[in-house]
Amino acid sequence: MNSLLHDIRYGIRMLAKNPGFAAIALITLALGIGVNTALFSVVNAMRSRPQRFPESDKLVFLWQTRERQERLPRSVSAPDYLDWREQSTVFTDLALALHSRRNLTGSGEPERVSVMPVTASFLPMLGIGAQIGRLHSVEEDAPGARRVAVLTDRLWERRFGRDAGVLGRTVTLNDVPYTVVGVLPPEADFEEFFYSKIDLITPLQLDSGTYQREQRWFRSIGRLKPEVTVEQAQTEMSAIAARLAAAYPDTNSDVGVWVQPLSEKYFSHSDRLASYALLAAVGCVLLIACVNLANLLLAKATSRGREFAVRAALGAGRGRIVRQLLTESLLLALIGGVLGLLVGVWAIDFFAASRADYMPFRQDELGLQPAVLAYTFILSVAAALIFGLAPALTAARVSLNEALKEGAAAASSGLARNRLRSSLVIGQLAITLPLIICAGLVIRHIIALKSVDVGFNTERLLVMQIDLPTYRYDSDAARTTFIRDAVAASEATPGVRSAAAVNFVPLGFASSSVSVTIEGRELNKSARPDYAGYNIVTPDYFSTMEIPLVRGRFFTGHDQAEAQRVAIVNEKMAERYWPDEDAIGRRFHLDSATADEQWITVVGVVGNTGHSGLYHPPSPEIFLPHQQRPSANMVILARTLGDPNTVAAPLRGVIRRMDPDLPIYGVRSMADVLHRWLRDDRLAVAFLSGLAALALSLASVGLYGVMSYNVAQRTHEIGVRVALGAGRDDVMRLVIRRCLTLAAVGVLVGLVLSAGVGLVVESQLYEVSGIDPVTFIGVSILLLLVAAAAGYLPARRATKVDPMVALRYE
Amino acid sequence: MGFIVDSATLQQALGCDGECTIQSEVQNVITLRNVEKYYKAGQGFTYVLRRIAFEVEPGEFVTVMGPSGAGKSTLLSILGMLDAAFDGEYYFLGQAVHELRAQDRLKLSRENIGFVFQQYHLLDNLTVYENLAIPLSYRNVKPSECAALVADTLDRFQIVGKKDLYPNQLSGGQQQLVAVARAVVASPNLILADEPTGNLHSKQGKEIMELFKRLNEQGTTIIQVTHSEVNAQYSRRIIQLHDGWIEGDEVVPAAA
Repeated sequence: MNSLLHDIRYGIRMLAKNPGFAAIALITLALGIGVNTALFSVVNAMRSRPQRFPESDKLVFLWQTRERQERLPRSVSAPDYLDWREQSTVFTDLALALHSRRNLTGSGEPERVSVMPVTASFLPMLGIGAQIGRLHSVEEDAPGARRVAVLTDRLWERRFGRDAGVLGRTVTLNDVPYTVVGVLPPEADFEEFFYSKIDLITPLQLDSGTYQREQRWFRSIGRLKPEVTVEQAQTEMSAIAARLAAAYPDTNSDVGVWVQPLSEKYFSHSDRLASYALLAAVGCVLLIACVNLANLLLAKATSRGREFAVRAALGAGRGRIVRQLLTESLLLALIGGVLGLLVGVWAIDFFAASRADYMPFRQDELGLQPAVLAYTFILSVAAALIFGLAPALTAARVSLNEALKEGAAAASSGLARNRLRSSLVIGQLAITLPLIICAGLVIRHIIALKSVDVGFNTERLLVMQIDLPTYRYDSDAARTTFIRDAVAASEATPGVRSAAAVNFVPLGFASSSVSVTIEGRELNKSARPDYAGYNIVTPDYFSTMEIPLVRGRFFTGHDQAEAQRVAIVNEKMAERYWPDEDAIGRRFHLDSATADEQWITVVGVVGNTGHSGLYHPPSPEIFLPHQQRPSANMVILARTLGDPNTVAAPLRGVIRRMDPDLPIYGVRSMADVLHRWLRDDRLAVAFLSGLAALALSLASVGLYGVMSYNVAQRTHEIGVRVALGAGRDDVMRLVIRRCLTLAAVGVLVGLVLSAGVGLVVESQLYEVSGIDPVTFIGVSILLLLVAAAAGYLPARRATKVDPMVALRYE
Repeated sequence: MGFIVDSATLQQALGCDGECTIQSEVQNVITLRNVEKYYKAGQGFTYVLRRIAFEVEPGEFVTVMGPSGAGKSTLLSILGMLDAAFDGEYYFLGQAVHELRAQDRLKLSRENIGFVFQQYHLLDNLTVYENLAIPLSYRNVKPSECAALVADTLDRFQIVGKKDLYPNQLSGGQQQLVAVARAVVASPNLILADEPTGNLHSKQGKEIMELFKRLNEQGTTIIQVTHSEVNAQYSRRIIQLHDGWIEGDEVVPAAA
């Protein structure tokens, strides 16, 4: 114990005596441990998300699948849910939730809000109570009961300024009054249910007759009885699904049920894989940092060779010397760990700020949890062992005879250390390469996505959503007129070049498709129906979006409700359904249409657009005139003369003047819409680039250190070579060649590792191969250039070796 | 016994009485005129070499002697063109070394000078064969020619059997033998030897000195720095240095 204290004291003294070394080592460790702490904190937060709910291991999601064995989360129908309640025996309770957007009017500006009608069992099952007031009761959940609402904390804060007097007040949703009975706590988050922030909870007031069996719009959760396993629940639910399939063959013939543990939903298999991959990546950075430290310590061990020889001569055994050096390393690592925690906290804050719009974790989940502290501690100790052990063992293998001899170079042990240092640097580079290549691949992926031809001009385009409440705009004529007038008024707004309306934001995250029957191509019942994207547009849509007309004509003012039903299709649709013939004049009808609806005639073919998203290749799309399909939910598009954001306020004003109670939402430029597609990818690029830059700089510092040491060790050799006729260039070549040889070996090993990593991530990349030659070659060249740069300074120093001095003081 | 030779004495000996100039038919290997070397020390200078002037003709075997700190090694490094920071004039085979650019100086020394050191300075991680090949590699000698020259030298020095050994597998005498072989492999006009037997016992030292003698008899000019009176006797001329000054330049009688 006493000697351990002595070792610690001595270790502190050694660090204080070498402040430069200590600073470099601590910064390296703090960065390495910091990024690991931050990422582990995020992973830990993900891992612990299911624990938000009491006895979360008994909570399950229930999904209805299109095929019996399918394992995809698909929504549930209310009548099926009622049958489950009746027939199942494995649950203590079941709950159902729906999501809808409604217009909140009354006090203040009208607003489009996110409402989640739920059964009375829903919130208690998740362990969520009211912050003030109460939740709705079972009685209030009965059909026809008085309408109550529970606010979420965000709406309470945004709309009511956290006023406790809100209880008992009335809020109006789509012109229907609801009495506020409670407010949920801030941590109540339903993002995993509908991928949307919820503003209000209302009773679902489920009635068996309200919804059709094929209307699969709901989310269902259940709590298993204590003795029931997920497998048992799955067996029973599958049996129930089979019974329902037999009872309702029209709607349930192939429909199955998937019982998914809630923990799996909140931290899925792919989340787990991604987490481990990222942890491995940041682990690599720490490893690179450790290798640097090992190299630094090896160099120090060489310069302290005589100290260890004297200690050995005075009776210190090998174990004692190893212990002393490891104590020093541990000390360094623990201080580095504490600094790493600070870096980690800063990185977590940075992460939280970058995800300000959607933070999937609660404050108490993300941060320095006990598990995170334990992880950092273990990491620090592991780091100390990784970077301290090899130098300690090497130093302890001291040759008394050689080390104590004045001027003896101990050439053989020097060579061995050089080999070890070189191997470490090769390893470092081999680990660095895959990290940079990953960053490179994701950058290429983003470039590929950004260069996707979306088929329309995305510049200077503003989108703005309005949903006409059907209780006020209850006729086709009313809707047609409002939209026509809104478009005209928008177009008349200064700064707007042209305007149009469409039912879904192009490249937005929502779209709709319909099954169609093509005239002359009627399919038999068992075949899969023909699908096409379903778009409702105003006449100027194509000219505003700058979508080219390929054949036929655009819509005109003559395509009125009573006129012939017409449609414009995109090239993809024309190619697929009317190959080798002209689509103009061909007819189809929507399968959802009523029997007496007319056939729809194709009057124009337009260019393909990436309506459904950046990642998707163009698919068949049909465009119908709003006059003939007067949808209530439309998006106003305005092509502006300048920055689209500057006309957002005037356009809002225009719509507000037309209908002061109409909520206007989703006002953003097309650039913002595009940005959302790339947001996560950009975050990945930022993260991977940062990691790669850190790894690269650590590796180049490591290489520089090794080359400097190498040159210092070879001073004598270089002196001899100069004496034998070597010129400046020869010496320079000697050092750079050595440096590049190390780098080339590192790159070769790294390329093999990168190919493995690349093939794993390939599925996540858009039109970029996992072993993309441009990235692989480019990054390899980059690494070799950095290696050459890292070797340049030592090489220059080598050319300054004075042969006479080098030869005299061997 | 040696005697002092300066040009006046020589003229006298030849009976020229100051009337005739001595015309050398062969060009000197080395001509030093007023060479000085000093370091800045505080406000003043510390001189290492003072007004050094001598000439070395082809085929000479010269010994530079003197106590430690006399400037012997500095002189050798200037002669070997490893040190260009000196005042005065240095002509090597008629070329003004003091006026040459670094590149040209390197070329000149590379083509004409071979070094032998007290510590041998063989490269530890190269074999005997590879050590011998280094000077040739810096002279852009073709690989086939290089192999032939190294083989020839290994043969001349009777170390063919050791060509694949590393320096640490050789005795001190053998290492110095390799060092000498390395110095001559590129057929230099001048060999500069710094205490070539300093690390050897007397028998090995004698063998090396006999080797130098034979090389000299074959026409190689040799300048050695040594403390050893015995080794000095292998040469024909001894230059005595003291505190940077030449204190004597004696011809060793042939009988020695």
